[in-house]
Amino acid sequence: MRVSVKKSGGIAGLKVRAEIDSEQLSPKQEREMKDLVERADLFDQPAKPGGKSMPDQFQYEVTVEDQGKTHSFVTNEAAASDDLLELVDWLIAASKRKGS
Amino acid sequence: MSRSHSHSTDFPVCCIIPPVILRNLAEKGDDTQRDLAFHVLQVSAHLRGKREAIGSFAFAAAVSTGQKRRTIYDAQNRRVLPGKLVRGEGGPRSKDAMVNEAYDGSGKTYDFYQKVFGRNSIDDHGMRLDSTVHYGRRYMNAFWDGQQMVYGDGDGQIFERFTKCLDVIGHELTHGVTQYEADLVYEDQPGALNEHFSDVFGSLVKQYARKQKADKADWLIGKGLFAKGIKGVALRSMKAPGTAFNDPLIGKDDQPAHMKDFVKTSDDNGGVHINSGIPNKAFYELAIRLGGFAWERAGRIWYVTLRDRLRTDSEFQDCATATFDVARELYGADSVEQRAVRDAWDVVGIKVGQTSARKAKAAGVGRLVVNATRRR
Repeated sequence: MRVSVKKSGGIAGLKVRAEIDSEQLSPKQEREMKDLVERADLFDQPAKPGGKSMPDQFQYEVTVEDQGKTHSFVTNEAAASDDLLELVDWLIAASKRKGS
Repeated sequence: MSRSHSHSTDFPVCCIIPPVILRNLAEKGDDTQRDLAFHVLQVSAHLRGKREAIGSFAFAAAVSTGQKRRTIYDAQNRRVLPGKLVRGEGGPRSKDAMVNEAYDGSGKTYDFYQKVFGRNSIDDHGMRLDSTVHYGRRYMNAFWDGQQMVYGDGDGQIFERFTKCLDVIGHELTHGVTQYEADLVYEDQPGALNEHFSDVFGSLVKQYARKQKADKADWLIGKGLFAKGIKGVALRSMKAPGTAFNDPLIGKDDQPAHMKDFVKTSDDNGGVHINSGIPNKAFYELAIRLGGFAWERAGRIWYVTLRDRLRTDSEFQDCATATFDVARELYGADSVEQRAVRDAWDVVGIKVGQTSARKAKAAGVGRLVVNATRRR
């Protein structure tokens, strides 16, 4: 399973990217990631957020690939569930560990 | 993000309580009931786009004019709003720097709008200023959620706490002002204008608090917000967009300062924090041309434009044309101010009033007296 996220916006307007392939993780991290992905219902997310964007909140562009299926969507802080926000934070932290 | 249902401004409330009861509460309830009723009436009326429908009696009853009311909450590092109440208006100082900075900063922003433009709070009807600090864990942001200001702690490595800078607080509160006035949609050019007005008045709040003239101001947004070690002076520079930071960890400030460099992107709601550099630079150019205190003339032209002339879908050209028209109404056709507005937009590649100023003068259109109080 591969998940990529691009976070943009916020008052600073900075961009952060992360892309994680579960096959390259330790077994423990792989379980963590799959659990987070499942709770965040990635494949069921609408392509665009329903509500308006609120000023200075973050925007997330997410792509998930698993067993030949791919789904991409854009969401933001106002629309995203806590589980999805947790997954995004986890992916960015994992990407930083990978990079350092 | 979730919002606790105990909060008095929770949206579901506005759908449950019949308007007649709200009006009664606004007129006859105790202080808390009146606050609640007033707020719900106004928010729901605003959402319907019919502010007049509420009737002025409710406002008169619910709020005394010119009163500053601040409330600070602590999210205790969770993502739940508004959090625990930690300081109300007139309450003692906290041991927590963020609580005091949010309190003092929103107070200075209120004072700026009230003293310079005669505006009574975010909605011009005395709306309570709610702020939540310690939102999320090491959260690197501040935002306006449609009802209140929200500040994160920063991670200490890239960002310090987000209450640290007065212009950032002024920026967030101004998003509220914009929501109640032009209500610029938060994407593409209207979104970049929404950001622009927040930077303009955020910077002016800081200049006003410091009694700084235009040529002495730094024209930076969020100076001191970056943690030590990050190569950058601030989030943005209105004087020189694109030069505020350049760091291996966070990248380079990519704000344009001219229409030829306008950035087309789907990131950040269409680059709202990027393309705001263009009107930001135009405002700086105007302020420098006029000299003196930037809030007095440049700020007034921009305030009247935001309040009376823009719509939800206004773009850069609409804004430029509107400021040119407002400058004529406030200071006269072909006045120093109106010519400076035209020249300032010209610097960033936006043309206004090529012939209209001369035509107006030829037609004998004189100076109209328009003050900054609401004409309604």
